[in-house]
Amino acid sequence: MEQLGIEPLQLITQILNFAVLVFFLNKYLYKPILNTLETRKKKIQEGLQYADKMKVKEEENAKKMQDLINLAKAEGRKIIDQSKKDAKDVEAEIIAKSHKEAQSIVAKGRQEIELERSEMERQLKVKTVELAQKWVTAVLDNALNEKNQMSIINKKIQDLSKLKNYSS
Amino acid sequence: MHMESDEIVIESAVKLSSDQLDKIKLDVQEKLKVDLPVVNKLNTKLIGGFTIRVNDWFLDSSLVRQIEFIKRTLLE
Repeated sequence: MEQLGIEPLQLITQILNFAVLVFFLNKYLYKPILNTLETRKKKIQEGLQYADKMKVKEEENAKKMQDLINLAKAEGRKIIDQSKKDAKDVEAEIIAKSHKEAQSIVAKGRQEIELERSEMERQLKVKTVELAQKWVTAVLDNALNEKNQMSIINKKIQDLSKLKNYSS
Repeated sequence: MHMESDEIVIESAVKLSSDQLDKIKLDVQEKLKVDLPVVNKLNTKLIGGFTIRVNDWFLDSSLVRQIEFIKRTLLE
Protein backbone atom coordinates (compact mmCIF):
# COMPACT_ATOMS: atom_id res chain seq x y z
CA MET A 1 0.00 0.00 0.00
CA GLU A 2 2.84 2.21 0.75
CA GLN A 3 4.12 1.45 -2.73
CA LEU A 4 0.84 2.73 -4.03
CA GLY A 5 1.32 5.90 -1.95
CA ILE A 6 -1.50 5.14 0.48
CA GLU A 7 -0.86 5.68 4.13
CA PRO A 8 -2.75 3.09 6.20
CA LEU A 9 -3.17 5.48 9.08
CA GLN A 10 -4.37 8.16 6.83
CA LEU A 11 -6.75 5.72 5.18
CA ILE A 12 -8.11 4.63 8.50
CA THR A 13 -8.50 8.25 9.53
CA GLN A 14 -10.23 8.95 6.27
CA ILE A 15 -12.54 5.99 6.81
CA LEU A 16 -13.29 7.10 10.35
CA ASN A 17 -13.90 10.62 9.15
CA PHE A 18 -16.21 9.33 6.48
CA ALA A 19 -18.03 7.12 8.95
CA VAL A 20 -18.40 9.99 11.37
CA LEU A 21 -19.60 12.17 8.48
CA VAL A 22 -22.10 9.52 7.38
CA PHE A 23 -23.29 9.13 10.98
CA PHE A 24 -23.82 12.86 11.45
CA LEU A 25 -25.28 13.32 8.03
CA ASN A 26 -27.61 10.43 8.63
CA LYS A 27 -28.63 11.69 12.04
CA TYR A 28 -28.88 15.42 11.49
CA LEU A 29 -29.59 15.81 7.76
CA TYR A 30 -31.01 12.77 6.03
CA LYS A 31 -33.49 11.79 8.69
CA PRO A 32 -35.01 15.27 9.11
CA ILE A 33 -35.15 15.60 5.32
CA LEU A 34 -36.70 12.18 5.02
CA ASN A 35 -39.12 12.99 7.82
CA THR A 36 -39.94 16.28 6.13
CA LEU A 37 -40.40 14.50 2.82
CA GLU A 38 -42.56 11.85 4.48
CA THR A 39 -44.65 14.49 6.19
CA ARG A 40 -44.97 16.41 2.95
CA LYS A 41 -45.87 13.22 1.10
CA LYS A 42 -48.45 12.45 3.74
CA LYS A 43 -49.88 15.99 3.48
CA ILE A 44 -49.97 15.75 -0.29
CA GLN A 45 -51.78 12.40 -0.04
CA GLU A 46 -54.20 13.90 2.45
CA GLY A 47 -54.62 16.86 0.13
CA LEU A 48 -55.25 14.55 -2.79
CA GLN A 49 -57.68 12.52 -0.73
CA TYR A 50 -59.37 15.75 0.34
CA ALA A 51 -59.44 16.91 -3.24
CA ASP A 52 -60.97 13.59 -4.31
CA LYS A 53 -63.45 13.85 -1.52
CA MET A 54 -64.24 17.42 -2.51
CA LYS A 55 -64.57 16.38 -6.12
CA VAL A 56 -67.05 13.67 -5.17
CA LYS A 57 -68.87 16.15 -2.98
CA GLU A 58 -68.84 18.71 -5.76
CA GLU A 59 -70.20 16.14 -8.17
CA GLU A 60 -72.87 15.27 -5.64
CA ASN A 61 -73.65 18.97 -5.21
CA ALA A 62 -73.71 19.44 -8.97
CA LYS A 63 -76.06 16.49 -9.26
CA LYS A 64 -78.24 17.85 -6.49
CA MET A 65 -78.24 21.25 -8.19
CA GLN A 66 -79.13 19.66 -11.52
CA ASP A 67 -81.89 17.72 -9.80
CA LEU A 68 -83.14 20.94 -8.26
CA ILE A 69 -82.96 22.70 -11.63
CA ASN A 70 -84.83 19.80 -13.24
CA LEU A 71 -87.37 19.87 -10.45
CA ALA A 72 -87.72 23.65 -10.80
CA LYS A 73 -88.10 23.27 -14.57
CA ALA A 74 -90.71 20.55 -14.08
CA GLU A 75 -92.54 22.73 -11.53
CA GLY A 76 -92.27 25.67 -13.89
CA ARG A 77 -93.66 23.60 -16.77
CA LYS A 78 -96.42 22.34 -14.50
CA ILE A 79 -97.27 25.91 -13.46
CA ILE A 80 -97.21 27.07 -17.09
CA ASP A 81 -99.39 24.14 -18.17
CA GLN A 82 -101.79 24.82 -15.31
CA SER A 83 -101.81 28.53 -16.18
CA LYS A 84 -102.53 27.69 -19.82
CA LYS A 85 -105.31 25.34 -18.74
CA ASP A 86 -106.69 27.98 -16.36
CA ALA A 87 -106.51 30.57 -19.13
CA LYS A 88 -108.33 28.21 -21.50
CA ASP A 89 -110.95 27.51 -18.83
CA VAL A 90 -111.41 31.23 -18.22
CA GLU A 91 -111.57 31.83 -21.96
CA ALA A 92 -114.16 29.07 -22.36
CA GLU A 93 -116.11 30.46 -19.41
CA ILE A 94 -116.04 33.98 -20.86
CA ILE A 95 -117.11 32.69 -24.28
CA ALA A 96 -119.91 30.63 -22.72
CA LYS A 97 -121.02 33.61 -20.63
CA SER A 98 -120.93 35.91 -23.67
CA HIS A 99 -122.85 33.35 -25.70
CA LYS A 100 -125.44 33.05 -22.94
CA GLU A 101 -125.71 36.85 -22.65
CA ALA A 102 -126.05 37.14 -26.43
CA GLN A 103 -128.79 34.51 -26.41
CA SER A 104 -130.48 36.33 -23.55
CA ILE A 105 -130.30 39.64 -25.43
CA VAL A 106 -131.68 38.00 -28.58
CA ALA A 107 -134.44 36.29 -26.60
CA LYS A 108 -135.26 39.56 -24.83
CA GLY A 109 -135.26 41.39 -28.16
CA ARG A 110 -137.57 38.77 -29.65
CA GLN A 111 -139.82 39.00 -26.62
CA GLU A 112 -139.92 42.79 -26.89
CA ILE A 113 -140.66 42.57 -30.62
CA GLU A 114 -143.39 40.01 -29.90
CA LEU A 115 -144.86 42.24 -27.18
CA GLU A 116 -144.67 45.24 -29.47
CA ARG A 117 -146.31 43.24 -32.27
CA SER A 118 -149.05 42.06 -29.90
CA GLU A 119 -149.61 45.60 -28.67
CA MET A 120 -149.75 46.89 -32.25
CA GLU A 121 -152.21 44.14 -33.16
CA ARG A 122 -154.31 45.00 -30.11
CA GLN A 123 -154.27 48.70 -30.97
CA LEU A 124 -155.10 47.91 -34.58
CA LYS A 125 -157.98 45.71 -33.43
CA VAL A 126 -159.24 48.47 -31.10
CA LYS A 127 -158.98 51.06 -33.88
CA THR A 128 -160.69 48.74 -36.36
CA VAL A 129 -163.54 47.94 -33.97
CA GLU A 130 -163.91 51.60 -33.00
CA LEU A 131 -163.98 52.54 -36.66
CA ALA A 132 -166.55 49.81 -37.35
CA GLN A 133 -168.62 51.07 -34.42
CA LYS A 134 -168.57 54.63 -35.77
CA TRP A 135 -169.38 53.38 -39.23
CA VAL A 136 -172.28 51.20 -38.03
CA THR A 137 -173.56 54.06 -35.85
CA ALA A 138 -173.40 56.49 -38.75
CA VAL A 139 -175.04 54.06 -41.17
CA LEU A 140 -177.85 53.21 -38.74
CA ASP A 141 -178.31 56.86 -37.89
CA ASN A 142 -178.90 57.69 -41.54
CA ALA A 143 -180.63 54.48 -42.62
CA LEU A 144 -183.25 54.16 -39.89
CA ASN A 145 -186.45 55.90 -40.88
CA GLU A 146 -189.56 56.38 -38.74
CA LYS A 147 -191.01 53.03 -39.79
CA ASN A 148 -187.80 51.16 -38.94
CA GLN A 149 -187.53 52.94 -35.61
CA MET A 150 -191.05 51.94 -34.67
CA SER A 151 -190.48 48.39 -35.77
CA ILE A 152 -187.36 48.16 -33.57
CA ILE A 153 -189.12 49.69 -30.59
CA ASN A 154 -192.11 47.36 -30.94
CA LYS A 155 -189.79 44.38 -31.14
CA LYS A 156 -187.97 45.49 -27.98
CA ILE A 157 -191.24 46.07 -26.13
CA GLN A 158 -192.29 42.59 -27.17
CA ASP A 159 -188.94 41.19 -25.89
CA LEU A 160 -189.38 43.01 -22.58
CA SER A 161 -192.84 41.58 -22.06
CA LYS A 162 -191.48 38.07 -22.51
CA LEU A 163 -189.14 38.47 -19.53
CA LYS A 164 -190.36 37.19 -16.16
CA ASN A 165 -188.44 39.97 -14.47
CA TYR A 166 -185.84 42.52 -15.55
CA SER A 167 -182.91 40.79 -13.93
CA SER A 168 -183.22 37.75 -16.24
CA MET B 1 -190.27 45.93 -4.95
CA HIS B 2 -190.88 49.36 -3.52
CA MET B 3 -189.28 52.51 -4.92
CA GLU B 4 -189.57 56.21 -4.17
CA SER B 5 -189.87 57.86 -7.59
CA ASP B 6 -191.97 60.47 -9.35
CA GLU B 7 -192.06 59.08 -12.84
CA ILE B 8 -191.00 56.44 -15.29
CA VAL B 9 -188.57 58.15 -17.68
CA ILE B 10 -188.36 56.57 -21.11
CA GLU B 11 -185.72 57.95 -23.48
CA SER B 12 -185.87 57.12 -27.18
CA ALA B 13 -184.43 58.32 -30.50
CA VAL B 14 -187.91 59.03 -31.82
CA LYS B 15 -191.11 59.96 -30.06
CA LEU B 16 -193.04 56.89 -28.87
CA SER B 17 -196.74 56.43 -29.53
CA SER B 18 -199.16 56.40 -26.58
CA ASP B 19 -199.76 52.73 -27.23
CA GLN B 20 -196.04 51.95 -26.97
CA LEU B 21 -195.73 54.04 -23.79
CA ASP B 22 -198.70 52.26 -22.24
CA LYS B 23 -197.22 48.86 -22.99
CA ILE B 24 -193.90 49.81 -21.42
CA LYS B 25 -195.62 51.36 -18.39
CA LEU B 26 -197.73 48.27 -17.91
CA ASP B 27 -194.66 46.07 -18.08
CA VAL B 28 -192.74 48.23 -15.59
CA GLN B 29 -195.70 48.38 -13.19
CA GLU B 30 -196.07 44.65 -13.29
CA LYS B 31 -192.41 43.83 -12.74
CA LEU B 32 -191.27 46.66 -10.47
CA LYS B 33 -194.57 46.99 -8.61
CA VAL B 34 -194.77 50.75 -9.07
CA ASP B 35 -197.59 52.98 -10.25
CA LEU B 36 -196.03 56.12 -11.72
CA PRO B 37 -196.65 58.43 -14.68
CA VAL B 38 -194.60 57.89 -17.83
CA VAL B 39 -192.45 60.59 -19.42
CA ASN B 40 -190.96 60.21 -22.91
CA LYS B 41 -187.74 62.12 -23.60
CA LEU B 42 -185.98 62.30 -26.96
CA ASN B 43 -182.34 61.24 -27.15
CA THR B 44 -180.99 60.87 -30.69
CA LYS B 45 -177.72 59.45 -29.37
CA LEU B 46 -179.54 56.19 -28.70
CA ILE B 47 -179.92 55.69 -32.52
CA GLY B 48 -182.78 53.25 -31.93
CA GLY B 49 -184.65 51.47 -29.16
CA PHE B 50 -185.15 53.07 -25.75
CA THR B 51 -184.01 53.26 -22.11
CA ILE B 52 -186.16 53.14 -18.98
CA ARG B 53 -185.23 54.84 -15.71
CA VAL B 54 -187.20 54.60 -12.49
CA ASN B 55 -185.30 56.32 -9.76
CA ASP B 56 -182.01 54.32 -9.40
CA TRP B 57 -183.20 51.45 -11.52
CA PHE B 58 -182.17 51.61 -15.18
CA LEU B 59 -182.77 49.42 -18.23
CA ASP B 60 -180.96 50.04 -21.52
CA SER B 61 -182.63 48.60 -24.59
CA SER B 62 -181.08 50.96 -27.11
CA LEU B 63 -179.15 50.22 -30.31
CA VAL B 64 -176.16 52.17 -28.92
CA ARG B 65 -175.93 49.65 -26.08
CA GLN B 66 -176.17 46.76 -28.51
CA ILE B 67 -173.41 48.20 -30.68
CA GLU B 68 -171.30 48.79 -27.56
CA PHE B 69 -171.91 45.18 -26.48
CA ILE B 70 -170.80 43.90 -29.90
CA LYS B 71 -167.72 46.14 -29.70
CA ARG B 72 -166.73 44.76 -26.26
CA THR B 73 -167.28 41.19 -27.43
CA LEU B 74 -165.03 41.78 -30.42
CA LEU B 75 -162.30 43.31 -28.23
CA GLU B 76 -162.30 40.55 -25.63
